[in-house]
Amino acid sequence: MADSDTTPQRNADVRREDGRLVDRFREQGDRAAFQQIIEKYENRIYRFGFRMCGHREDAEDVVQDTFINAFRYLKDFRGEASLLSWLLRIASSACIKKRRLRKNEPKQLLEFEDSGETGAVGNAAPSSPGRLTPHDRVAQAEVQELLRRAMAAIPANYRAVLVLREMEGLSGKETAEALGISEGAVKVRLHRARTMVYKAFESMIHGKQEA
Amino acid sequence: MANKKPEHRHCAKLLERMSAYVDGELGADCCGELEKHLAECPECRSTLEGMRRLASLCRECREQEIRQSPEFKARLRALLTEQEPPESPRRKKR
Repeated sequence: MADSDTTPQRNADVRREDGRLVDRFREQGDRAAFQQIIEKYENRIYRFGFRMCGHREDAEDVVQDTFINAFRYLKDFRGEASLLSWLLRIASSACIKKRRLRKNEPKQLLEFEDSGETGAVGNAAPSSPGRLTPHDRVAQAEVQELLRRAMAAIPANYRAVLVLREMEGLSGKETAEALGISEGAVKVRLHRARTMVYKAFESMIHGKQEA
Repeated sequence: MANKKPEHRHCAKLLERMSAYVDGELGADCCGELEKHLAECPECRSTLEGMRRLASLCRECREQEIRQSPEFKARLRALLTEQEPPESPRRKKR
C-alpha cells in the first residue's frame, strides 16, 4: 500500500504537498485543490469508516461527513498534525456519533455486514486470491469474519486504536494525533484492545468448535 | 490466549508489557525479565502467541482491498460542488 509508507522523508514530502493544497484552497478558494485532497485520502477514510462501523452505508456517511466538515473548517487547519491525521480525527468523531445514533444496536456487539462465502465485505475483496486454494480462501474468510466480529465487540475508542495502528499501519504518533490522545494513551489502549479482541476471538472460536 | 486469570504474581504486571514486546518497543532490561518469565509460564506464552496471531491477522487485513462504489464517489463530488465556499479570513483581508 503506497499510501501507508511512513518513512520520515516520505512523510515530509506528503506534508509539504498537502500544505500546498490546503493553501490553494484557503487562499484562492481553489476547489480543484480540495478535489485533490479528496482523491488522495477518500479511500483511507472509507476504509477506516468501514472497519469502525462495519457497514458500507455507515462508512459512506463517515466519508461524506468528514469531507463536508473538512471543506467548511479547513481554514482552521494549523498543520500541527498531518492532514491525514486531521481528517481521521473528524472521521473518528463521525464514527462514534454514528454509533450513538444507532439506537437499536446492542451495546457490546455490533454485527458486521455478512461477508458471505468469499469473505468480501461491502466492496472488500479478499487479498491475493491467486495464491490460495478454495479451501484456504474459505478458512481465511471465516477467520477474518470472526476477527471483524471480535473487533465489533470492543468499545469504539479501543477499536479505533487497533484499526489505525494494526490495520491502517499508522505510527503511534499519527494515531495519537488522529484520536487527540497522547502516545502513551495509544500504547495503553492498544494493549487493552488487543487483549479484549483476542479474548472475544478465542471465545468465538471455542464456541464454534463446541457447536 | 488463555482466558484464565494469571496465577503467577508477575503475570499481570508483565502482561501490560506484552504488547510493547510484540511491537519490539520494550527495552532490553524489560525484555530479559519478560523472556525469563515466559520460559517458565505457559499461560503467558499462550498469551504471547495470541497477541502475535492477532497482529498477524490484522496485518493480513491491511492487504484487503476495501473500496467505495463509483456511484458513491460521484455523489460525494456532486455534494461538495453544491457547498458554498467557506469564508476564509485570509481572503477577507484582501
